[in-house]
Order: sequence, then structure tokens, then C-alpha cells
Amino acid sequence: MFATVTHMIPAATGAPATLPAFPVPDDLCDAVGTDHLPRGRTLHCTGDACLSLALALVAPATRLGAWLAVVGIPSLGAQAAAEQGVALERTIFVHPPTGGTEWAASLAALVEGFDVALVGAAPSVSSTHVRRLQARVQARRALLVVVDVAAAWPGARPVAPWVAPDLVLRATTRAWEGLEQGGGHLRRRQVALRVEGRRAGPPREHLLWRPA
Amino acid sequence: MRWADALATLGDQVPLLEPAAEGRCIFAARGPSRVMGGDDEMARRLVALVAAHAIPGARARVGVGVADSRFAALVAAHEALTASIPVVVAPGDTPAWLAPRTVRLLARCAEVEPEVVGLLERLGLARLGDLAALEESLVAGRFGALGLEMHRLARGDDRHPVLVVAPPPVASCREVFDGAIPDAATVVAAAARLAGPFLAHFAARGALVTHVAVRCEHESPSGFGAFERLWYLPEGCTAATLVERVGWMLRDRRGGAVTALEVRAEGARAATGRQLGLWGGRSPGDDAALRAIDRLHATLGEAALRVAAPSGGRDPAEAYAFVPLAARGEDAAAPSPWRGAIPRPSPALLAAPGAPIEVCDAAGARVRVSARHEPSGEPARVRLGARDFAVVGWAGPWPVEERWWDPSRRRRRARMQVVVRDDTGAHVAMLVALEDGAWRVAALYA
Repeated sequence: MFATVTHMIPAATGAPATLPAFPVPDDLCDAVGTDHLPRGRTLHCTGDACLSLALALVAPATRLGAWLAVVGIPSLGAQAAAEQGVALERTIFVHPPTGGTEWAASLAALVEGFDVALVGAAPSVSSTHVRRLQARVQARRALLVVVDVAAAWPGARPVAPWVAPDLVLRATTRAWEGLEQGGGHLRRRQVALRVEGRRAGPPREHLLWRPA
Repeated sequence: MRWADALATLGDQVPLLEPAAEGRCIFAARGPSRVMGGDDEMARRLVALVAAHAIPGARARVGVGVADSRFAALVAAHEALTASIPVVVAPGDTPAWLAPRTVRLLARCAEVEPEVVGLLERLGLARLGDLAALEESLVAGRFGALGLEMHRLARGDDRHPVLVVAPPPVASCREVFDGAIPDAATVVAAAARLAGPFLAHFAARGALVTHVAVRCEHESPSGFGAFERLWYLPEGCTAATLVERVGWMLRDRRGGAVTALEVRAEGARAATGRQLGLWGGRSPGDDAALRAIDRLHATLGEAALRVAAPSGGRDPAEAYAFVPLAARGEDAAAPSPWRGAIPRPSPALLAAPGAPIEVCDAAGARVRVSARHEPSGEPARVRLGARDFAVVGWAGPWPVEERWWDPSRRRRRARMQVVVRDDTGAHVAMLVALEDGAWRVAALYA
């Protein structure tokens, strides 16, 4: 009942020391074109459903013991993250400094220790810093998921990713189920998920319902 | 007999006496009860003890109550005062014992405002048992955090139990004076000096001290002595409260000049922070993450690193709070869903403090929500900055009234889910809220 004041006692995970790859949620495998995400990759998520897509992609890893750093998305809905299956007890929300160099340094320090980084808008960072960061992600065999948070707003213009992603995922909501005029509530949505990238072969688009 | 003398007399018989207010004190009964041969015998002896020390001719009435929670024990003690015999509630019987009693006791014994108690009565909740029988989420939905607290009291639970055993590693600070200090001001100044490092020790670990024991050792021509008090500070000990308590103790003291002062933490809880990580053991991955956290702590400062802790609330933004990394403490369990919470799925992006937006009906007039929670028209268009979107679906409005019993702090708003279609064909869902006549985006289902 009472607290014992000691230093932080870290987590038991029961998972292997390092996962060789991060599993993709079952309902996304067809659309993403694989059932696992290799370590060391950089992903870019955009479209109005970018954030729930990104959360769903990283959730299985956190449940298997991986640590997640959410960087520069102060408005992330933790409840939604929990509903997507993210293990919040191994999730840290980081607000790095907005200066480009310090920001890049903070992110580099995070990648040293965290398996997965979910990163929102970046301040203007030099291409050298970005290259170094991605090299570090590869060397540390982490997973970097960049989210185009601005795309969540209606009528958002697509922006070029500030990283050189291995995979670009665009999630666009085509329909919502559950609303009547005034009644009901949002239940699930039909998402058009378009996947392309230098490691993904020709672009393809899948329609799927989420939550499934 | 002065209250301070009564405290001192009791303090010789029971360990860790907790003065609650003038005329009231609380202690964990298990130990003394065992020593004195049971609750009834203990209560009888304490009454006799205080009565024996009473000034002849002065009216000193003593009531002793024993129960499973602080609140129930206090209620029992009040009844004991009227009945002139101790009231002992058997272990486990506290909820049933409280049930038939009036909710007004919440005001008398637990500092709940009388207006709130009046509201409970008007809602038909005259007995504590009526309140305890309600679902917790329902009370929370109606009264917020205060409701949870009242529900807990009515059930016979305590926010923090009265200390029975001291938790392990006890942290204390001690100052031994060069020679005995006769004047209180110098001792209080010493308390202020001790408070800094003492509290910093806990703050650095993200903990709040809820039970602090203060010990004064003194010396007089008749010999050496010491007196000790336990202070229960549910909101957490601060330097100011600690110094104040030491001042009270010195004002009421017996004995001579003070030779040493000691403050000791007997209980602590997490400073609204949340324990990071889980139970036992650790993996190499955990070590690496914690090292990275340590490094970032050092370079970015504590404010830059947060964890999500369930906090409970009707709005998506209130369900979790981002709190600083903290030492381990009592970990809040995920709260049961609040009545009036928006059903799942929850929005992934919260738009705090809320971008202004205009929600209009087909005629272009702003949609308003009546006191009966009915919209003035069907939402047809949504204007966001200079842009305008067609509404393809909507639900609500769902009202929220917070602190509705307090006209100066009440907050009333209506929330609605709207789905708009943009020029790319995307159906973007938003949670919008109307408050003080203005619509804002509360969250996006990103």
C-alpha cells in the first residue's frame, strides 16, 4: 500500500533479449505486404488516419517487450494508443528542444536505447543530421516511424517526408460506420492503405476495416 | 486539561499518534490493542487515562471510537462522546456499520462542504449506504474526483491507511544542537533547514511524504526526554507545512530546552507520477532504454520526459495525464470508464487547447445546443480557418457539466462527433465541443 522509495525498478518483459523483427498486426499484413517489419528501417505514415496506423504498427513490438519513444507528438491520445494495444508502461513521451541540432542529438540518444521511435513533425534539420540519424537507426537496428501529423486535418496538403523512408504508408479514411444523423457514435472506419517505397515493389492499395 | 496535555498523555501509551485537528487524534489501533488486551479494553483504559489527568472541576469528555477507516473511527468517536461509552466497530463490519448513518457525517467528520452534502440529500441519498451502493463510475460521473472520495469514505475505505508498520527504508534528517535551545524560534529555524534536504531526497525520487514523524529531544533539570508526533499530510509534506507542524509541537511541548530535532518519513506516495516499467526482473532491452532515459534526463531535464498515467475523465484528453517519470509508488489502476465518456474508438490526436471551428446548419447559421441538449439544426458545414467542408455524418450532442453544484466554477459544454469530406475524398472524423457559445476541435480521429 505504501510506497517504497527506491530508484526506478525496470521492467520484466519475458521476451527474448532482442526481437529479430517486429510483427505486423494480423489485419494489416496483407496491406503492408509482410508479416514483420525488419529492424533498422524507417517508415513514413501519412493520410488522415496516419496516427492510428502508426500506433497499430508499433503496438505488437511494445507488447513483446520493446520500448517506445514518442517524440514531438505532445497531443497524442494515450487512450487511443492503449486501445491500439500499445504497452504504455514501456512508452515514454519526449518533448525535445526545437533547435535543429539539439533535436537531432536528442533523437540520436533515444535511438541508442529505444527499440522504436514514433516521431512527429521535425524542426528544420540539415540533411546531414537526417542521414546520420537514419544510419544510427540502421546500426542500432531500431525502427523509426515518422508520422505526418499535419495530415490528420481535413484538406491537408501532402508534404514530402523529411527522412528517406524505406516504406511510405498512406492511410485515407473512405467511410465511417456507426453514425446516424445525430444518433449512434463512431464505431469503425474503412481505410484505404496505400503502400509504396524503395523496398516495397510497385505501389498497391488495400481497403480494410479498422478496428477489424 | 489542555488538549496538548491530553495528546502528551496519550502519546506515552500509543506509538505514532497522529493529531488530526484540535481535539481529535488518530492512531493505528492494532498494536496498542494487542498490548492492552483488545479494542474494548484499550478504549476503556484510554478514557480512564485522560480522565485521570483532567483538571478537577473542569469538564473533560472523551470519546474513543475504533473502526477500519479513519472516517468511520471518527464517526464512532463522536457517537462515543454522546453515549459516554467507547464505540468499537468489529473488524470487517465498518461498511455495514456506516450504511444506515446520515450523509451529513461527511460534512461533520470529513470536511466535505455542507452544500455538497445537501445535494446528496436532495438526490435521495440520505444514508451513507445509499451512496456506497451506487456504482463508483456513476458518482464519479456526477461529482468528479470529489464523488470518488465521498464514495470511498461511505464504503469505509481510506485514501491512505493509518500507519500500522513503518515502510522500509526510512529516510530521516536529524539536527543535534550545540547545547540546549530554549527558544522555539531557533528550533523552528532548524526545522526549516532540515526540510530542504529532507524533502529534496523524496522529490528527487518523485515521491511525496504523506506521513512525517517529528521527534524533539529535550533536556531539563529533571533529566532527558523526547516527544514525538506523527503528522498525516495527504496532499504531501512541504517545507511550509513541516515548519508549521514543528511550531505547533513546540508551542504545546512539555519538558525543557530542545537538544535535538529529527524528521522522519513514515509513509510516501508517488508524486502524481507513475512507476515506469513493471514487475521484477529486467531484460537487456530494459537496461538500454533506462540508460537512454537517464542520459536524456540529464540533458533535457525532467520536464521533457513524460509517461501516460490513467487519470479518468469524460473527455479523451482527460482519460490519461502525462506525468513526469517518477519513483515507484502506489500505481493507479486504470479507472473504470466514466459515465459520459465518449465510446471507443478514442481519437488519436488531441487538439489542445482546441482550434476554433464553426459548425453550421444547412442555412449557414451556427449550430447551437439548447439547455435540453438539443441542437438548433443539423450540422451541414464545418468551417476551419478559411476552408469549408461538407458534413457527411454526425452524432451527439453529448453534454458535460462539471462542478454543476458550484455556480462560480461550473463548466458546461456539449460535444459532438462530426465527419467531414475533404477535397481528396477523405472522411475525416473530429470530436468538436461547444462551450461559452464557441465551437472548438477537441480531438481528431487521426
